[in-house]
Amino acid sequence: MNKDRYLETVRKSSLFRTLRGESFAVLMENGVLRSVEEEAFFFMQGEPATHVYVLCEGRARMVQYTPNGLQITLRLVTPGQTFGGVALLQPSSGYPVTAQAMQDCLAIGWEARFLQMLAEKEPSIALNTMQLMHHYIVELQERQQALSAARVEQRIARTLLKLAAQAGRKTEAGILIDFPLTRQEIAEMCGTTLYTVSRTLNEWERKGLLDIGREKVILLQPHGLVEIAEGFE
Amino acid sequence: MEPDGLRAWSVADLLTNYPKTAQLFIEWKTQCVGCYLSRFCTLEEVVALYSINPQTFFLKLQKLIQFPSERIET
Repeated sequence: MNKDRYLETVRKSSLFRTLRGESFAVLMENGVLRSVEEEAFFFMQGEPATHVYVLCEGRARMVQYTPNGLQITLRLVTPGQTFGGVALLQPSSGYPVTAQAMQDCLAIGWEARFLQMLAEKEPSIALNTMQLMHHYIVELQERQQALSAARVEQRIARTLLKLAAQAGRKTEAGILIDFPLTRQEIAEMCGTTLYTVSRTLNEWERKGLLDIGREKVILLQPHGLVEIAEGFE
Repeated sequence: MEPDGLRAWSVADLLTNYPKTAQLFIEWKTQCVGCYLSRFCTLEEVVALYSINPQTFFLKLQKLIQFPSERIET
């Protein structure tokens, strides 16, 4: 498989979008295409953080395991997004999450040592990394705020809208969230239980707000969900 | 830009290209600015959803695009 097929995906990624000319050519030359089958792992939580990846195909999830064995889905990754960025900042502390493929995935990975050397010549990589960190911090703040102040229905609606914004596609029926998502994963992302997510989604389906199929959700009345997410209902 | 040409624009495209037009959505009390759905909703859908007079909306929008420094009363 030729990684040059994914030139544009890498060029648009938030970490490397500022690289041009020779630097970008060197970047692509040093990237290694890695294929990971559905349910398999790119890396495990606690492993030495050696590589930074840009996802090119498929869907992946970043999962954290708590000391008592619970798993929490922190983030879903779609093509063009970066993951494993901690390798660039603090490789010795290990990956803080496990990266698991939700579908068969292809990603380009770079050794952190190589990227650190490249960043010395291309300081924009460091700035892009900081912007990426800023984005994660804002996301975590929003989640923290939602956990403290928003009702569970608001949190579920926000999660679905966020997934729609990240990986949604407009169809005649509504906005299709094309993610192989389970209700358990939605529950983990909202900080609630499987029971609550099932009850809420069933109620919304009955009201005609959404349609839940196997491994897909269609938002039939997306603005109805916005009203719920914002607490206006 | 003719008003008709704007109808099919998404809210996200409009706000990216003409950030000043955000004031119109705010003054009309829509939830479009910062909405997760902004790349899916066309302006035509916005006026329908919020029962805004399309003629007034698109004329004001056009003015804002042409004269971004002027304040347009809604």
